[in-house]
Amino acid sequence: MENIKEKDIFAGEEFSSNAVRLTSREIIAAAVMVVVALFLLFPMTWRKLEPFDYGKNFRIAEKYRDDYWAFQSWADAACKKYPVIFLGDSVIWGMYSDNESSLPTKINAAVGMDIAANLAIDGLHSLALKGLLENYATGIKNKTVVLHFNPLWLNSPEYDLSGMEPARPHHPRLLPQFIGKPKSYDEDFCARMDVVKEKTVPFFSLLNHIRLVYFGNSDFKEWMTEHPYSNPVKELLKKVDYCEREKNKNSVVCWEQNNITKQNWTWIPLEQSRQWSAFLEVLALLKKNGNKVMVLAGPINKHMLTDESRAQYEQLQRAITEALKNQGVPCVLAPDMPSEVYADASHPLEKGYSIIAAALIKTGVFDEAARQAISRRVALNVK
Amino acid sequence: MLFHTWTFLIFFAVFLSVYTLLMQTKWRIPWLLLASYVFYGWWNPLFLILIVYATLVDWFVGIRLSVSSKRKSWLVFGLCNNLFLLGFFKYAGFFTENLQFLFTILHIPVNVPVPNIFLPVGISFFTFQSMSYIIDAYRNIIPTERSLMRYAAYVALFPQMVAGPIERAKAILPQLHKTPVITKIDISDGISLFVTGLFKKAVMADFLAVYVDKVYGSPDTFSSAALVFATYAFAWQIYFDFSGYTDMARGTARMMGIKLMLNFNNPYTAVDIGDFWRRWHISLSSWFKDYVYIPMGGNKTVKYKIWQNVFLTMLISGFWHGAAWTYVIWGALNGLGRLLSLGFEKTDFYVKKVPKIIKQLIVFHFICLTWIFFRAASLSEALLIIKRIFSCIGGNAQVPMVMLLLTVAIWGYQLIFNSSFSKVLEHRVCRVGAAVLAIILVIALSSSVQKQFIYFQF
Repeated sequence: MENIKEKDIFAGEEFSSNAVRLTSREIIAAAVMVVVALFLLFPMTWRKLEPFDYGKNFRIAEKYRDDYWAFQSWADAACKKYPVIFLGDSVIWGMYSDNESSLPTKINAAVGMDIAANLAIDGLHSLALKGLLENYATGIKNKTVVLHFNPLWLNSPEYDLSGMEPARPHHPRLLPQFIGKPKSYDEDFCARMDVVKEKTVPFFSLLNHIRLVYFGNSDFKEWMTEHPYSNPVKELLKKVDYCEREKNKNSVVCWEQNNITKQNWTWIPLEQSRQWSAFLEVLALLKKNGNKVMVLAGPINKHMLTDESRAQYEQLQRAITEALKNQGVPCVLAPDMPSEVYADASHPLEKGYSIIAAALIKTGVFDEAARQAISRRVALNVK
Repeated sequence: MLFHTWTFLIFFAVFLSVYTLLMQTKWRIPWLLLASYVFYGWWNPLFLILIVYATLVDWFVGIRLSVSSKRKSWLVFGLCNNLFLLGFFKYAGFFTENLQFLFTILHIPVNVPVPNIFLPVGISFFTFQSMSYIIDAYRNIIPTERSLMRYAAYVALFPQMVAGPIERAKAILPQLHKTPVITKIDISDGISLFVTGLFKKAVMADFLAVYVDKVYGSPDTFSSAALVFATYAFAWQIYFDFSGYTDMARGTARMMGIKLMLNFNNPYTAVDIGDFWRRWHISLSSWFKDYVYIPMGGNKTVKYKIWQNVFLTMLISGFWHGAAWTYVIWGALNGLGRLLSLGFEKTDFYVKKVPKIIKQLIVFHFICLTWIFFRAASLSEALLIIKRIFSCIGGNAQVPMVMLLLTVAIWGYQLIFNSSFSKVLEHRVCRVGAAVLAIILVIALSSSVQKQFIYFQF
């Protein structure tokens, strides 16, 4: 049956109007070529050819916060260069500071050498962080990891992703799409399948990267219609700066000057929190990969809380410390800081980062990393 | 459920797995019917009421045609029932609107209520399929189908029910009677057709649609050149869209061991309008030929009557496409074009002296002119577009170069396919390379939001 001559297989009109007709063997060959192209050829070639400049005090730019391909490149490079990795959301990333005064930069300045890399991303809650580590940051192994836990994600069922009401979470493409999907995440079936496709096949992550970075996050067809005479290949050659150097200009003053009012948040208890259970899974994953993990919990701007909410929050703080102690994970609670160093409920201003950095340095967690960095530098010099 | 979505992929994987297991059993047809109803009901479960009703009536009419002495009455009843369904759901709004317009210009103070009826997807296709069954049964071309289940599976056969090909009972029912044998060739041909269709739809049609929608969305702001290019682009968009759907339908059916007819045969290489309609939506053209043109007398009558038959058939075909004057004019223009072609073909100069490529270009441009009425939102807009095209209004056409290159490449491929150089395309390396490139382009260029097929609205 399969024994058809090539002349016969291209029967033309009876088969279809100019369709490409393949035998089953040819289909298998084509499928293999496509798989190789999607999993290996395109992603590997692109990684080799695309220039990424990770200069001093690098952090991924805000506009590329959803570009997990770029994050993966940065994570791989950071793991090769730095012994200490900072993971977390915009508090670590430095929402209201420039790249010279974020927390990892302060640590580097305090230690006197570049030991810490800022791998935080704005909006990266624990459930998204888990997805990030599982799919795009698999290279974080045998490092000292400062893992930030932001209790602010526990201030409502919506942010905690434990609510039932439909919500638009941050980083939806990092969430579990089927098994373990938050009930409030109600994206349609086809869109969730697209996310699974992106997580599984590197080519789709690359496509998103190209679309976001080179084509202004537009659909390719729409971009080409909007720019009819532009050469899309030329766009791919343009130089891109992936680093966020600037401060968020929306708020560089303290929260009171921004007329933010006091909040009466009802904090979700740890045992009911979806974000906390995801955080524990993140911890387990990092430890499984041979990382030495230290948790930084907070800061939360207690000045912005009502008395009732503050009391509840302090109870939550104690629960966090207790739970991590039971897990055998060292934990530093971000120190209570003066009101004027907070830009909002959780983001410190530059001064705040100096205070937190000092608290972290005091723990001695970076000593070994610094020693490793020195011996590595010495070894390189000897070579 | 659209062919180029995850939902369909999973639906079809589940369907085919079970279908293969049930192929030798009596459960094959019930499973096929169930799957077809799930496929159709996915748009709106209410649509199922309509198709079940149409199926029951037509099946019963078929049975009566085989036993009753009043066969003609049953035929008329069956046809009227189908035409009523089509008329009510598709044309009620059109008729009442025009009636109201007529009353208004005649100053008759009557308010005709305009019904707000939703148009069930694919109604024009399955009613035509049902009518062909009744007529063929009446003409004793086919035996009437005794099994309601099998007849229902024929009417609702999911690969083709919403946008064709409009299959005849004589082609499908015998395939449903036989136990299918799915060979490796069926699978490979099915996949080849599906991938080709997917490329046509997701890469070509949807790409061209972005430009066409932009220009046709506000024709009064674009130059003559832009309107010309957008019209060319629409000609290719509708071809890729509809023939892409057909390829996917035929590929899907082929993987089930069912062969559907060829519906497109390089229509833009036609050398006259008649030739175009023998290559474009072949299942519809042949339906109109067999059930409208020939019963009216066809070409076995006096010259004047032939012209009348040709024109009326095309006019009705236009009206079948949509309940709007633009479609009626589109049909009328095609009718006129067909008559002009007939006239030209009678002259020695046209037959012998005019090169084939010139004939092809004339036909292509004439068809493009008719597409303006097909695509424009209203008659006044179509006329505005034509006026602006011929007014030579200057300005940048803003044609996306990549789109233009892709279209030229496909046109080139089509010309090579029909020329003596077609051997080049037959080579294994060329075919596999084209397939790999097509799949990668589908992956890279398909949008996350999938566009409907144009012909679903009919």
